[in-house]
Amino acid sequence: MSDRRAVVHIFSSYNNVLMTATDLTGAETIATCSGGQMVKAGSDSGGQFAATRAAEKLADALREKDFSQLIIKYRAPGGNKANTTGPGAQAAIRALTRAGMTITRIEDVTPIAHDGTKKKGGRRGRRV
Amino acid sequence: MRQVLPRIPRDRIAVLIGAKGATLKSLAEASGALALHVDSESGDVEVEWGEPGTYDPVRALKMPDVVKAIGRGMSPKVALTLFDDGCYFEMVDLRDHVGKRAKQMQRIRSRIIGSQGKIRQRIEHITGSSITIYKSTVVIIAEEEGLALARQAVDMLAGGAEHGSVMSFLERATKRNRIERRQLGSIEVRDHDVTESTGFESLVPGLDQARERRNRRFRAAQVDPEDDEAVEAMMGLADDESISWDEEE
Repeated sequence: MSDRRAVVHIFSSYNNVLMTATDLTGAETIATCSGGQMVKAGSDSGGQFAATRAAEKLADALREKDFSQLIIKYRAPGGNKANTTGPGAQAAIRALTRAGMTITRIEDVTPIAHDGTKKKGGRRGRRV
Repeated sequence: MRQVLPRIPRDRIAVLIGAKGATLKSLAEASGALALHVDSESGDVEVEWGEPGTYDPVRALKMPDVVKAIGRGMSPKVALTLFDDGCYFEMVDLRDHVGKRAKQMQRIRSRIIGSQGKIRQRIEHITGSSITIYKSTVVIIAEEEGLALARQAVDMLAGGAEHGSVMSFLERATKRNRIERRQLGSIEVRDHDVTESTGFESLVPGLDQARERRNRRFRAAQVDPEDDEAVEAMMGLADDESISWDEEE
């Protein structure tokens, strides 16, 4: 019974990586983990290190429950925010394979805006 | 597994396929995919991957980006460097800055390119990135630090900043990065496990073990007596159990 399948939803922005493993319907959560749980500094939590650690922990939790086949659905913030994933997504997927998980499918589920509300930041952009 | 990739503009289809499919073949080879299919009428691209485990899932993650980069004017050779770890892709849509007007678009494009491509080359040189400007998009491929800088520089130029101020911003940022790189980076790790121990367990000594024993007894009570394997497993001793043959008092 060690080839149960799970869906791993990875939300990766520049500031954090959130990972949720669910069953195939997506309604039942099996395990969750995030980059912010792994490091102290907030600015590190979207990085590769935090993502790797979080993915390892998620893989442990999944293995304990006999899941070894994963479908990955990754997304960036999307909408009127950034459409590209942060550096964490790649690191997380790499770490999941290293931890012995088989990835059967990989899918981009970034929400794409078909027009909508105005992007954050005024006419003159974000001023630092 | 078949994966649908972003559609590419008609005038880039030839570049993606290459002479007699040479580029397509090298792309499939570099990614570890079985084959790539391009509809040369509509520009639809599909990639066929083998069985799970025969290819690198990170490459599957990057494949759409590579095709998008080629579709947005990048040369296939440069786009292939994207498969390296630590190389990232970013696409800036200039329409976010100036809207759809063709004249404004051309103005912004020429500002980013500069005369004789000077500005683009300098941004590429300073940030270690490769930049392609095509129609309304700017595609940047770079490593993590360079990508953020190049992206910001392009945003500044598109937003109307002067060339001089953008260049001095880049110089300053790289100088700061160079100093930071000299020091060893360190990341502080949270040592306590947030999700599992809630603190109460650590306050009551022996609670964990007691809970473990109780769960075990519960599981033993649930075993189906017909199932030989389960009974066998139940009869085995756990690490903290032992049998004493002394008489009970």
